[in-house]
Amino acid sequence: MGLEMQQAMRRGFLDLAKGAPERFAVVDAGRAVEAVADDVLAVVRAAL
Amino acid sequence: MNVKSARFITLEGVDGSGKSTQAKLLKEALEAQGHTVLLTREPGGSPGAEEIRSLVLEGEPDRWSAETEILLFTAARRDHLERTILPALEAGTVVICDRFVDSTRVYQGLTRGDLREVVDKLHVLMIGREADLTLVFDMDPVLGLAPCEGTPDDRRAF
Repeated sequence: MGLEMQQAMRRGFLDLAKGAPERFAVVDAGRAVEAVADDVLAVVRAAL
Repeated sequence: MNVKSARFITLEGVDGSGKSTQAKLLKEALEAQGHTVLLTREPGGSPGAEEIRSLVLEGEPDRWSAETEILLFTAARRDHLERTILPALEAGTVVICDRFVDSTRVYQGLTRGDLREVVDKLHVLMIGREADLTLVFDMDPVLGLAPCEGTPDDRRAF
């Protein structure tokens, strides 16, 4: 899958998230693994 | 995001966004807090669904039409739901699923935009269940592309 397709996929996921904010949480994954993991756990713990 | 009692959690995002690594870390963190957690993935996630996955991902790229491919993925998802996801949820297990229907929605919406509605209709008809919480791992694909390039599943991963 080429870069252009990946960029379009990214936009597609963000559009879906915008359309159903009650279900989605967008996490900035372009950071250190630990920082992302902290955010993920915080979002999930709030929802559990 | 405004969910309570989320038990069925799906992870979505482009290849190389680190979601598979994060899925494992999340499972460990939740288990450390006393939850029972099942980590699964699509396409696949049950023996039947894995067989269907092989049908779709192996062989010539034009082996199946786009329509047939959507039916196969929906069949695989139905089996995964019946055999793996729903029994776990009923047992009180937290289910983390690496990719689910949103990957199909996005992928089909891009490759065959006219089939996006078919994906949604089939989902309502045969799956009938959305995740309680969906995490989108968002990053610039330029940063995430390198590690995944050339893996066999790149061609048609969803």
